[in-house]
Amino acid sequence: MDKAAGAQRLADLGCEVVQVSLPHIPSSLPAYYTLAFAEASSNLARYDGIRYGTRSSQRPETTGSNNASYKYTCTRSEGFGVEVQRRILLGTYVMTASASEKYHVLAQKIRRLVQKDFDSVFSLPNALALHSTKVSDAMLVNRPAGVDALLFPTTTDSAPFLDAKDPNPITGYVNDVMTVSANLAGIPAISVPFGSDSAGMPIGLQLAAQYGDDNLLLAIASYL
Amino acid sequence: MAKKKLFSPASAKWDDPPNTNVALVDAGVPGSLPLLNPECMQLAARAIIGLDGKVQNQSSFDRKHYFYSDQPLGFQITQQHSPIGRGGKIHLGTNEGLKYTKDIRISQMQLEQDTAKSIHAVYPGYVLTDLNRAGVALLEIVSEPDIDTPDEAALCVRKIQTLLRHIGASHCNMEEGSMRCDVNVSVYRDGECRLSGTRCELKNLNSLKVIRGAINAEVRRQIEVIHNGKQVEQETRGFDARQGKTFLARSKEDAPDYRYMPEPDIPEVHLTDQWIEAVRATLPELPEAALARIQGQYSLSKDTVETMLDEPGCIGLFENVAKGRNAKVVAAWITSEVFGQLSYRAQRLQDSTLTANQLSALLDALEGKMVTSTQAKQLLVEYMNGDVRSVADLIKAHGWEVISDEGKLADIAKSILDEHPKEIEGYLKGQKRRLNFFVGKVMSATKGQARPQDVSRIVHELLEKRR
Repeated sequence: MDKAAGAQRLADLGCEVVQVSLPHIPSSLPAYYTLAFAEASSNLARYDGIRYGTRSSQRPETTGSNNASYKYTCTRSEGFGVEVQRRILLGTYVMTASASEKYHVLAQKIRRLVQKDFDSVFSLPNALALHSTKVSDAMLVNRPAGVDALLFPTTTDSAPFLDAKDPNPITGYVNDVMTVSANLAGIPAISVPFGSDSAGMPIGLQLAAQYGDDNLLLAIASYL
Repeated sequence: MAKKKLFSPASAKWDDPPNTNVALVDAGVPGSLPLLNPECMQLAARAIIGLDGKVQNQSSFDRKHYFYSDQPLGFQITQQHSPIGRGGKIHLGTNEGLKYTKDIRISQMQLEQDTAKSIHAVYPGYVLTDLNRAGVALLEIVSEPDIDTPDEAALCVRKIQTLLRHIGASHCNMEEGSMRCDVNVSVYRDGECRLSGTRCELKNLNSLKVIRGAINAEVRRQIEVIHNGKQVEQETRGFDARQGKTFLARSKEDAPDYRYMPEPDIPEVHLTDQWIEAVRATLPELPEAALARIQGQYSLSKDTVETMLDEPGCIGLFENVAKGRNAKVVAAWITSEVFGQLSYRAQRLQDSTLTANQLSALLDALEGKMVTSTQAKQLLVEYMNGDVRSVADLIKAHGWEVISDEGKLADIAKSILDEHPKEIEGYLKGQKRRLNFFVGKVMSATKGQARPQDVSRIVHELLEKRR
């Protein structure tokens, strides 16, 4: 059972199944993590131990202008776990003046391209685009040649075993490639269990639709 | 002047007890979100229009990140990329106290959050944080490098104060912290490009006097550095008013990287041309236009009109009361008596109980000689104390009805004259001061309810008849 089987099942139910191309999808993974980590570093900046939450009991040895940052450092190092600290540091880095243009701004541009990819294949226009000022007329019309929903796998591989040890945390991130595009574009997506692979591990199939078309996805999923 | 903060419904009042006006988002409590306060957009638009700038149809907010105890979220929400206002100018001329005319151009005007207040030196080793101010709306007005002298800088700030107070956008009160000023200073040699020098930023200048002093001190310092053969380093500096010197607050190496990022929780703001025009329609006549018109229309001096323009609501009061009355008298009463009372009460005209009708009636009574000047001033005090009775009622209540019946006065005077033959003799012999004696007696007899001039005239006539 796999994607092809899923497509066959939908065809049997009376759907017309066509192939579409979303050329910027491969870039969506690095773009997503760049943006997500940047936002995390920003949203987590409030955890300084001053107004609420844990506060380090370490007392700085020196007084002076470095006093304040030392307190923050201790509290945040003690209070955040390793993975969170990793994400905060990476997110902070991509927003620094020297790296921003190359990573953060570029990621935002990729995000816009991913959104445009989706808009170009869906038949329903993107309601969010109507509120933007940089919209072309082509983006606003119902496209008769467009599709109602997209079908693709949820993951690239089956679920990793708990005792499988991979020292590289990046592998975990890479597995998100199939799901982050919907996040970047701000469109609804749903993962549906659909049979198992040859080893007997469960498989998930993913459906995505244009912004606002949540009910359609739920309807299709109920048939799958 | 907004009632609430820029992104939260907490009160923006500046002098409440510490940490009493704090919404969840002002304290950065996890899960709380900012919500744009439309009143702040309106006030910002008013200020921008008043400063001759263009309110942008599209603007957006950004996050400026740095860690400090007065920054609860770890970032400030500001407008780095697309501010709400662009362009504009501040006109300086003889009206403002400059001997020449000059326009200081405005680069942009942006809305941003104020920080919390940090209070040092109360408990040793501790910094106290008052979150009342955290999130209050600020409008940052950035000028082009057009200013050439400390005087121009101070007058520019003062002009902004006058304008924004007049428009009702802000109290612009540097003492209460509703207006702050940072100045960038650089110097250049004659013949060199005007902007060739390295600039230093002087922060936290909190009065016009300090602005002048700080700029002068910094210019002196930079010139000395250059004369010593060194380079001016780009720094952020403060001003020690007591020593008359600027001091290093932060060097270029310590300058933080703010890691600007679009504020994801506030959508792009769209202001239609109609919305902007509607705001423009609510603006009062701008000071320059009003100054010219009122000087001409009522033949008043520039100083008088400027004094009235400086107080919000005053021109409205003046024009109302001046209808069909002597404009100079009205203006004189407003600028000396009314303003004197306001000053004594530390009150703004708009907060006073005095109405245009009350002032009009008071001046009519004075004009019609129904009250003396002294009595009219007392009526003014009573109206400003909150009395709402009519002038007629107040006159009666005080027993001030004036005896104007000359026959009656003559009778009283005659009987007093008859009682004092010696003084009559003295007067007829040439002792003119006997007249005052009789006038005083008549005034006592009438309990002050006669006009001294009338009494004097009548007594004089009667005395002369006895020659």
